[in-house]
Amino acid sequence: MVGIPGTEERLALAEVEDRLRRIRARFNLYTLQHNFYSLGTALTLGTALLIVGAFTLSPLLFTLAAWPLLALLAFLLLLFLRRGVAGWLDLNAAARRIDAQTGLKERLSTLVAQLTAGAIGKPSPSRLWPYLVEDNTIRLPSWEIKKVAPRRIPWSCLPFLAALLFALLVASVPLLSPSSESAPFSLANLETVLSEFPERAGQLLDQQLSLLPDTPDHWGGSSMFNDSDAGGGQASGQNNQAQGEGREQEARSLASLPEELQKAIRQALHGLQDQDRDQPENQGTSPPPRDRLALRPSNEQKTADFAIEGKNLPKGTDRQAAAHGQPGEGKDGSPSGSGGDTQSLAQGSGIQHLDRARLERKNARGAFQPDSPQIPGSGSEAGAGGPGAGSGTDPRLFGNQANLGSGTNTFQLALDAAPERGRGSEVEDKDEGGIIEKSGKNLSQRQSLDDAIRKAQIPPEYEEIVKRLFSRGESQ
Amino acid sequence: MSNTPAVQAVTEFQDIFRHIQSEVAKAVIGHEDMIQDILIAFFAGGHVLIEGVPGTGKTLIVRSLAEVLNLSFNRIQFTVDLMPADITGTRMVMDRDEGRREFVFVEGPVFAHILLADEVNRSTPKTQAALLEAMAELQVTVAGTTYRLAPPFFVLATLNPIEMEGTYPLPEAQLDRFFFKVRLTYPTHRELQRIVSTTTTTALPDLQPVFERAEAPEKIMALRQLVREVLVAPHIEEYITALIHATIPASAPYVSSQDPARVALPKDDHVNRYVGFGSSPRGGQALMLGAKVVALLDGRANVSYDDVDRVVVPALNHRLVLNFAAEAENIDPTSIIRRVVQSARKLRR
Repeated sequence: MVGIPGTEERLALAEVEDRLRRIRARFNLYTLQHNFYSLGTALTLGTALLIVGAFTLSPLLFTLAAWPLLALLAFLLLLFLRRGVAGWLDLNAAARRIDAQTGLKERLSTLVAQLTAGAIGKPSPSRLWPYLVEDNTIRLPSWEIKKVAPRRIPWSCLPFLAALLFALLVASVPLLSPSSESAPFSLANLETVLSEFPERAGQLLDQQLSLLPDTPDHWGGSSMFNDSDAGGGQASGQNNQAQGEGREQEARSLASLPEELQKAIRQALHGLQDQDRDQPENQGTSPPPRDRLALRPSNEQKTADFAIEGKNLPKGTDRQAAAHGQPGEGKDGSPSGSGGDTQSLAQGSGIQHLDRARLERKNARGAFQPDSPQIPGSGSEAGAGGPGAGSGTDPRLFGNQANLGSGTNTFQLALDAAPERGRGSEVEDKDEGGIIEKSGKNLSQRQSLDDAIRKAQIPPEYEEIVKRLFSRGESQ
Repeated sequence: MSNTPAVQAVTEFQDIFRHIQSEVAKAVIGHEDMIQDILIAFFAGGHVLIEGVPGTGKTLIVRSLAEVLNLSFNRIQFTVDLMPADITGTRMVMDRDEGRREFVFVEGPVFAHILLADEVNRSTPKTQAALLEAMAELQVTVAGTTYRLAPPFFVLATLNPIEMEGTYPLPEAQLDRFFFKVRLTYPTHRELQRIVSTTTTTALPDLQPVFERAEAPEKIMALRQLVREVLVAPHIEEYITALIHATIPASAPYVSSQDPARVALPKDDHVNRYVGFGSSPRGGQALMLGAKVVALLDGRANVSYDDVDRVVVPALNHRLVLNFAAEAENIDPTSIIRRVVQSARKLRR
């Protein structure tokens, strides 16, 4: 009987109560979701309207429209809160709802009313109480959870999602509208900027490099005599083609000078040594200029006086540098271009011609006047981007781009070549002579400083500054 | 269902009720719903006012019922000259064997289990009032002495809606004492055909009593007790209360304006326009008890909304006092009650 623990009736009541509590929790969750989604739909649509109004209405109209809309949204907020509270079911209400849905004719709600009134543990309120319990137990399968509350998610989530999507579309319309094209970050502007970026970057780089001293004009002289080099710089030298063609005849006269004479002129001017002459693979190529700034792989100790070493520079760059400026002796023997001819004018005319060329280059700043050494590519590309050969900076200036991209991107300014040579062979220094201060164990203070600077690992972001400082020191 | 005492009780009630119905149906052709209403009121412990045109079987129903129930039965034909003592009984001077004379109370026809008050509206109000105490209190007071009526006491009064001349309409107080008011309609075509064919032969209906005469009152009272043990949920009680309040017009006198619960159910426009006085609390009691009987008949130990709706018309239609406008527009109380029930459906959720 009722109130006696362990009886079949009590177990049946426990089963009924347990299921009722689960269904009630599901009802309440559903109601909560439904009110949340309904309220969210209203708020989202209201927000979308506010956005539309903000972009379409005048400030006065927007203010006049926004306040009633906000008041309406606040009213809806309170309304749905009230509905949420009113829709929250207790056990009796959940039982009534189940009765209504399953046609139990208030059997369950009557039973739950008796339970909540404290029927358990008290004398039976009626002779018919066991009958009611048994009646409800028999009808338990008719109000399974899946039958009574089959849906976990209310239908109102669909309007909510639609409203959310609508609001997102409304919010994105200003970005896509034609009136926003003047915006700096519109898609069209970004595409334009991206398309012009390489050209502008090249111009900016040229401008920065043109600030460097003009002295390395003549180290590129060897490339000026290199016909194959001219072929590689054909494209980039088109801007200077007119200027170069005017001096073509003079350049040819320089090139026609004996090699010994050309060498003597270079040594007299800059003390440039043809360091690669002794290398077998570079035989037959013109001696490379004594680059003030030359990019070499940092793991190679070369004899260049000044070199910016790209650590990721692939091997063989020095050989390419050796081929750089070889007149008409590129490995593939590619025909010379007009760019190379133009440059040969300045190199081949002696000091006066070089000074004049330097002056002309200064006057022609704004166009490409590379003051930094260019690293030619392979033999087939030898001379490409030679000094002053064209308007574009040699993209290989910093070595292999792919390797640069994947490497540590640090650079080293090296003055190691001359001191090593000085330590190894004093005669060689004597033979080569030149304007470079003699390297040795007793380096001057300035040389030691320079040496330290150039051997230092320079991060890429400081590369330009170091170059400039280094060049300024050199020019001084 | 297991064979518990509760289940047995419910099953027995259903069997008895249906047995009575079937036995009465042997004599009365048609009117199944009316007979059921009468039986509901009988097991609920109420009295029934039957209204119908002459010749529709009012008296036959009551006589058949008494015969089937095997209870004592009396009939009073109410006339203008009927006196209250003719109903309740009177003290008479009787000669004893010793030659002494003394007043002895002679029981009137009211002392029976089932009383048929035929054409009750034809007697004077004084005589009608004599029936009030018996119906409400199950007792009769004569010459200062109160006499208890033996339960079960069941009054079936009939009203003849025609020939209103020389009649005395029952006062509202007396009407309110009737549990149900049942309207007997004309029989349908097929029912009439059966009536004509079966009642004009030599074969009379053989009604078998459901109970033994000795045990009938006790059994009936036990069944009445079972009815009162049917469980009712609080929201059902709320529904019944709302229904009763909904029949009271807003402008009715004697209405407490301090009761905020009365506004839970908005008043139907017809109630405010056509009802002078709404149902009394007795109407609510009738609704509850009648619904309990219906629940038991349906094999349930609890009352449902449908049970209440089932009995709302017979329980309330004689308790609404319509105003002159309703009479002028020939508004039926039943239509007003149905509108009230319709407007109260929102309380079911």
